[in-house]
Amino acid sequence: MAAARKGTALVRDTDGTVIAMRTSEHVAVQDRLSDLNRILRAVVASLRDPQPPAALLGDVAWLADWPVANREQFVLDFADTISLSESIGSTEPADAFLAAAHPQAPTQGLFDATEAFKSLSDEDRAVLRGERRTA
Amino acid sequence: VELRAAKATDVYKFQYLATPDADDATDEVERWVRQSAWSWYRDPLGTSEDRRLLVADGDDGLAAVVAHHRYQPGSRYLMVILLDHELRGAGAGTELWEAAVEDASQDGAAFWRVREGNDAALHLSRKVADREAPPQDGYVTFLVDRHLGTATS
Repeated sequence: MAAARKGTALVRDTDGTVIAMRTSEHVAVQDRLSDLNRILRAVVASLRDPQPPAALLGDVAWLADWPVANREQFVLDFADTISLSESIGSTEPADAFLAAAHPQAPTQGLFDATEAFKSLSDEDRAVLRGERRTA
Repeated sequence: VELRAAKATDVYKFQYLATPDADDATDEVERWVRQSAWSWYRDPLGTSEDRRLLVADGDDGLAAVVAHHRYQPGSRYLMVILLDHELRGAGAGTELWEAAVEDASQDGAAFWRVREGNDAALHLSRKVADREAPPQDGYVTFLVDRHLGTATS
């Protein structure tokens, strides 16, 4: 029972059959890891097609618009986070990665370089364009 | 402060860079890091901005995040300098600001914006910037020019 509380314990039935005992938390993590690996395999399968059908990608249908090279990079990144998730027994790294990899709205306000550029003097704009250096 | 390129396995740590009861200026930066930094960095639909997302490791998670991208050949826009709230106020901010500006200005010049009222960021920016522009639309823009002092053309 102590081993089962920590994760998984294997016990034998009276006929010798091996039975696994796991905590519900461990089962939930394993189930989610299985889902994440299924998503990864779908993206790998999509690499053969420059314009894969969104249905093939399922949960990550938004990847269908990405060029193949960027989907390949996604596969490498996502696989790294799944490996980390498996090693620490938590799906947080892979789940957070999936959420963060989804394209977001255009950058605005503080993050808008063009707006910042406009607020500078003509002299400083020239510096940033590489046209003139000030003393 | 040792900045290094961010990895996919760092992304989940971004979620812990959240200041309790953050003011609007801090919240704006932290939300961008949590929600947008990685997709911006990987730039899946392509802008050719040479985007860089850098992190510094702390004893227990990430200590800092920095993001900048090319604006023109020879200049870069420094989008984000974020220090973990538990490390603020002990001189780490100055070190981080210096390291971030150093990295962003390697091509020649760098510029960035700070929201008016973000006194800590304004203070740190004034320590490292060569010039600042008058406030506009609630933001102050700063500039570092590595060629400062060289002949004009």
